[in-house]
Amino acid sequence: MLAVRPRPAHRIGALGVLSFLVASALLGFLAAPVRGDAPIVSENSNASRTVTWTMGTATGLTLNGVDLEGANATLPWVPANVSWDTPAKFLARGSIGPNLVANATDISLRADTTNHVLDGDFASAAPWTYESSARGNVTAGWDGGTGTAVFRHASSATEASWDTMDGNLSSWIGLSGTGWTSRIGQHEGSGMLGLNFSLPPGPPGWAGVQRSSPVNWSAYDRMVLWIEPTAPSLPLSFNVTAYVGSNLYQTAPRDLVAGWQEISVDLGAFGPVRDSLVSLTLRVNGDNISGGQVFFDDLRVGNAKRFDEVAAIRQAVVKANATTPVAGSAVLQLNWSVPTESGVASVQAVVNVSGPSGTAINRFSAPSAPGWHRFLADVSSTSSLAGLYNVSVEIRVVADNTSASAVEVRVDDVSILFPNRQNGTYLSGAVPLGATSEFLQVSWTFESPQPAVVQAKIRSGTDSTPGSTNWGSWRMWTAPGSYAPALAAGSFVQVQVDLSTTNASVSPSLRGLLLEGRHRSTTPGTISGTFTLPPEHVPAFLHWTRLRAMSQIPTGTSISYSIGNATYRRPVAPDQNFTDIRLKTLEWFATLATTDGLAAPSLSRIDLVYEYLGPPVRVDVTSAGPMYSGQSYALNATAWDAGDHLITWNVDQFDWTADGNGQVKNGVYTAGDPGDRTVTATYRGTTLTKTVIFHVQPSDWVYSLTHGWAGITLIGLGAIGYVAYRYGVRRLFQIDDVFLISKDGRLLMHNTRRMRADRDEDILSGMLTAIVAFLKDADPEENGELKRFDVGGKTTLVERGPHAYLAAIYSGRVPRWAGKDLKRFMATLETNFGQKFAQWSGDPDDLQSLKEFTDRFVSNFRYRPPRRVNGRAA
Amino acid sequence: MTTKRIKSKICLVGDKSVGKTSLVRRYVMNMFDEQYITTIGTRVSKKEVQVSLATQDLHLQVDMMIWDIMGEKGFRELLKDAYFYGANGILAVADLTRRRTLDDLDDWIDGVEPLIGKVPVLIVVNKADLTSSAQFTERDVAQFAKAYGSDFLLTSAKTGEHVESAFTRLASVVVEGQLHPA
Repeated sequence: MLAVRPRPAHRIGALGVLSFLVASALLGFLAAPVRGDAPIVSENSNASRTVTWTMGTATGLTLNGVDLEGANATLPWVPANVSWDTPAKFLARGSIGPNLVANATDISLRADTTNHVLDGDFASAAPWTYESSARGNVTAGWDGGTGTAVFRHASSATEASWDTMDGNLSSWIGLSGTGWTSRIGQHEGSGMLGLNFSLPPGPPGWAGVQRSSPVNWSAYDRMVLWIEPTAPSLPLSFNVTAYVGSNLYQTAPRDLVAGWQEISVDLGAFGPVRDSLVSLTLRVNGDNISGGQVFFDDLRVGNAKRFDEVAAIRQAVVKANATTPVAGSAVLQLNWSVPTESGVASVQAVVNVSGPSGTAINRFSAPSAPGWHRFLADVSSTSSLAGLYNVSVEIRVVADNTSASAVEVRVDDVSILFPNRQNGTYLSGAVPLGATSEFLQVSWTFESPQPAVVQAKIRSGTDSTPGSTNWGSWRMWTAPGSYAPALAAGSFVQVQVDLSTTNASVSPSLRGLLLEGRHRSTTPGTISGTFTLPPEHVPAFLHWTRLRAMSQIPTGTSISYSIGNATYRRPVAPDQNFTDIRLKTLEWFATLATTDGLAAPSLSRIDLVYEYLGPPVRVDVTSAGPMYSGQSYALNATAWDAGDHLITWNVDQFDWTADGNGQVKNGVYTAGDPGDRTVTATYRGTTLTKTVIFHVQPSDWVYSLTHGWAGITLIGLGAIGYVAYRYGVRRLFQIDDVFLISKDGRLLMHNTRRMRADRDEDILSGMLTAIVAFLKDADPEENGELKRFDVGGKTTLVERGPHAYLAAIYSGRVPRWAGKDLKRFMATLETNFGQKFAQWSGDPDDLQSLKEFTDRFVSNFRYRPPRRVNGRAA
Repeated sequence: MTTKRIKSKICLVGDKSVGKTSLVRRYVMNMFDEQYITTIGTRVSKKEVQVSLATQDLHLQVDMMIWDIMGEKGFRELLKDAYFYGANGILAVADLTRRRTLDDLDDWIDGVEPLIGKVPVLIVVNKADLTSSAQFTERDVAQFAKAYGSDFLLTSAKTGEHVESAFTRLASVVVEGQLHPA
């Protein structure tokens, strides 16, 4: 609840108080606004009070979407940020070219995943070259049936049986053990040589079987046999010893494993001459073996096949752009399988990429498991420079044996991938900011490792067509960080980021943008205040009269005002006068709006003015028309306050005096002697008076007559005549109804002798008006009017005045003078009420005194106007 | 709350056959036959409307005199001075199924204003029950009404939809103008 501030009780003189009030009134709006708070009520000189709100604080105000800044209410700033912290947000407002790729965290240059190896899937033989090994032991070729490159080796055995150990074993002697000859499970033929042995703990010893006769192996360089140690014979090793002459030679021991195993012995250990090897012994070596057992079978001799050969496929690859030597920049892949591998020492693949940056050789052994296997090698370090690179896949087969051997290797799906990155651009569309905005700061988040480059650009405009004349030029940044954007204000921005590199392995990455801007809220905001009349001011309160505002309204902004309460609201314009708001509690609303984000209206003060009925300060007295001595005239007396508010029009509240034998009683002035006469009215209980001068004219002859003998005689005759006429002629007719109708058709007054329930006088008046108007307009050239019409036994006379017209319905025979009477009556009405007719609001209460006039007309025998001038109606 | 009585005059305008007479017939009982309209160009009806002015603590009994005026344009020119004189409000009626009737309201309203000044105008689009035959939209009406700063309503004299609201709404703004002329 707001209240009037109590006035401080200063003990200063009346002059001081007066000076203070005058100064306050003069300063009014000119003074700087008081900072504050609840509304202040100030007294005005014209019976009104001003309730003032200032905008220093929110006290007493209700703000909705409005801020207080520097003692002004204005629209708040709202952020207009472009905040893109993920690639998805960039892409939501724009697009990236084909050379860029967006992942979860950044936008970067897209790597080229093209396989630079042509026909790596061997759908055709070209462009590969196929090179078999120099001696032809390993061949390379294209297998069109399977679409693979195929490498092969095949050779037969170079050995012959020397002792199958199937039957006669007498030529063998067991040493340090006992031999036998039969055992199921021999490796070859029907028998084998077995040796039971035990070796004591301590230094390693040996046991073996020895050939009893010399052996001539001069034609061979290999001896091959099968051996199977049985548990618990292990660990054991095997070698062969023999004497050449008196020298004992022995081959290098070979560790034995469980199960049958073929051991090839290089006879070179016995020297170059092996035509008489004495005491040839097949030995097992070990210690602390009790109950050991080993079997020998199928001893053969021959000359070993020995080769280490490479077959290859080759292709030249063109690398267009340099890449980084960092791992991952160049990757070579192939699939290979080794479906056949027997009788050879090893199979190995060698992948070779060589070119301007060097040579990468990757070797890998044949897989042990069957099927296809992927080989993958990073060749980044040796293929960073652009140029021509040779890619080869070599299969190396090593053989050193006497048995038959076969190898088949297949290669497929050879590829080399280089990143080969290129330049790319992100470009947004016009990004709307909601309103014209100013830009405070731009922050870029990106990475540009050498030699990569990022060029980040922003431009702003005021329409949605980037590049139009309403757009500024690009602003560009090449390093991440925060900057003053120096962009022109705009309602749209466009973002472009160019990513480039001269090293196809190095990509810049774009991570985020934060462009911070702001504009005034374009959502209208309201500020309002409420004032409740203090109880002591309520009785005299009349109405609210005006709202005044102190404001700044730049182009593109507006403030609209309304007043009301919780259930009623009405728009008002500042300084517009209104008189129909009589709410004791009144709320004002100011709605601030802008279409320009950089401009906002500001409101610093609101005044609401209301009027009240103040003490009387003025009295008025009026009367219409000329005055004649001896006649009576109604005077109007009114008392007014300082705001021209009518306090009373009741003549009984005035004390009257008149000179020149005039008299005033109850507001009716009876004119005295001719001449200028004064009448004074004093508003009772005050000293307020009004003196008016009336010019009183001499009375007319009728008046003289009525005051002399002749007049008395005439009056007597007249009375007799009147009575006769009253009871004679008068009976011949009577006025049933009088309708006084405004020009627009509304019934002003109806006087009747008898009411009729089946008739609505309002509708009757309207239709009568329509008919009269119709008849008048039906033939405008005649300039005539409906004056009279007869229906059944009734006659209706019509008389038009400037502001209204009369319709009188007569029954009986209507005398000739009835029309004149009606005309006089109409004239009287127009004289006394014409102005009221013209301004009639429709309120019947405004015309209450009419009833008396029409009663007089209806009841009188002949109508006489209330005042007369020289015997004629006024 | 103070109770007061006041007399108002409102005129219905609009092209022929838009439903003016039907609206009045829906709203009031008449003393006079509708033949009057074709005889002298108008018929006057009356309806008492209750209006409360909350801001003034005032309750009004409004004797609303309704002048249903013939929709022939020639007639309008002939008698407009007489029939429209002193009107406190205008109920401008168009037909939802005829676009032309909405466009013609411009002529009706503009033709009346020089005679009676700025008075409240309520735009009424009748035959709202015939939506399948509509030749214009509510949006069109809103734009039209906005040009005159007027309210508008879609009514159906056939179903009675919004008929009473139209007269009551007009009455409430008319009496404001009568009590507090600008």
